[in-house]
Amino acid sequence: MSARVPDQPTCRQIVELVTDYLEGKLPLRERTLFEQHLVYCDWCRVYLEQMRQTIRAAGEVPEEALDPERREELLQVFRRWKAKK
Amino acid sequence: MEGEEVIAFKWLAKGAVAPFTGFRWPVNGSWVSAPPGATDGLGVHACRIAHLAFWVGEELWRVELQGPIVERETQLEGSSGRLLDRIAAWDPEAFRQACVERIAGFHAETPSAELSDYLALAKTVDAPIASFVAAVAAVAARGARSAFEEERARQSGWLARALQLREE
Amino acid sequence: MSSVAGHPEEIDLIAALRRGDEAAFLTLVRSCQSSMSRVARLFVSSDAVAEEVVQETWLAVLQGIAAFEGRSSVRSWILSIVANRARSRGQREARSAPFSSFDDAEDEPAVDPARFLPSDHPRWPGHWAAPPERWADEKLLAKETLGLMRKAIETLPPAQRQVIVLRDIEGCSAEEVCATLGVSDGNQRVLLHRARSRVRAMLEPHLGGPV
Repeated sequence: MSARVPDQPTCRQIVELVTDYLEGKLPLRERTLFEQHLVYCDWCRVYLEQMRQTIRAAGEVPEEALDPERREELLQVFRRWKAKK
Repeated sequence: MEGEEVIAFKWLAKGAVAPFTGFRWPVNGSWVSAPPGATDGLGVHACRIAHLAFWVGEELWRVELQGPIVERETQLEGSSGRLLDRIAAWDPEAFRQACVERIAGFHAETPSAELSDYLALAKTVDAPIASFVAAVAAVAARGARSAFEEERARQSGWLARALQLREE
Repeated sequence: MSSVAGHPEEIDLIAALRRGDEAAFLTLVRSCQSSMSRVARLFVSSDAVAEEVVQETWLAVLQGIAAFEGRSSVRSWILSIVANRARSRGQREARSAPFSSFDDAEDEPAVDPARFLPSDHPRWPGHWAAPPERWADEKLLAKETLGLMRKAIETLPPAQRQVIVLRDIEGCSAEEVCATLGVSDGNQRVLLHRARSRVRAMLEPHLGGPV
């Protein structure tokens, strides 16, 4: 984040590490530097939260209801299987 | 340090919330364990006084960690931990002000456009950012990369004195 | 779908299915059918083909239930069957490139590089120039956003879409996705990263932020 301390990760690097961080796959040193960056970078904290929100929203994408015709077809499959069993 | 217990410190967001995971710590002193099989780096974290400045947050707590405890560069990691008490004296504004004065000191010693920028920035941001900027300013003033950690250690010392903390 | 072994709550369901209990079958259909269609559609070229694969899968499930060992949940087991069947069907259709080739390996950044200060900036190289803005949770879970999300996922390259659908929509674990798609853990994560980053970027103009 600073020209003076070049071994600290930049925001541009942080956004590429977010998934490894959330997956618990960052090596220890990187994980520590990642979290220390978050301490002083509000914007990367917002970015991390947006990635979490994106994941949460994906989990809410609604399921389509099963139409009755399809249900009937599947019941036929089931009954045939049961008869042969 | 198998089975050992350590008293250390932990920074949290408002409401005893872990700043990175969003986990809400119980404030009644009950133990919290890392998930079984948690790998390195995913245990319960706290830090020694010497590393307080790396992790500044909205609330500071005295905590107890339980082993096996691993001591790392800037933090301690245990397999479980609990909050003991909150350091009510923690005053982010006073710390921020101390960081601003520190940068002003650097700038007075060796005036530069760069230090002037850092000073202006530190005046407009919160304590965690101001303390980071002060550590960067220290590097600029001293011309040595090692000044970053030295400044962090100095800040941690300031916190320990201001909040009357001691290692237990 | 979780990867915890045992699943005691499913023991009754499995026993009922083995007995040929129709109600148990319908329960399972209700809980899995729409996910199965979604997963099948990742690999084949039309809804009709996906439905065929799903139908075949139900028969395979019934035929295999006697030997099911309960090492994963029933749902997870069913989704891996449907994914495998749809994948080989898709390969026969020669639609999807073989997954192992890891085709979209071009190096795409998670965020437009123009949103960061240049790497030769004298104070803060690589720091945000156009930072992200906070998203309100209410708007995030609104119907409109979820619709947008679905559209965003549809525009992804196939490999990325497969990983994000299985992981984030269907809730499969990383291990399950690697096994189902035949990719390494590292590749799975790269694909997931690109997919999530792109979807985030596509939601951003709607939820608040620059661009």
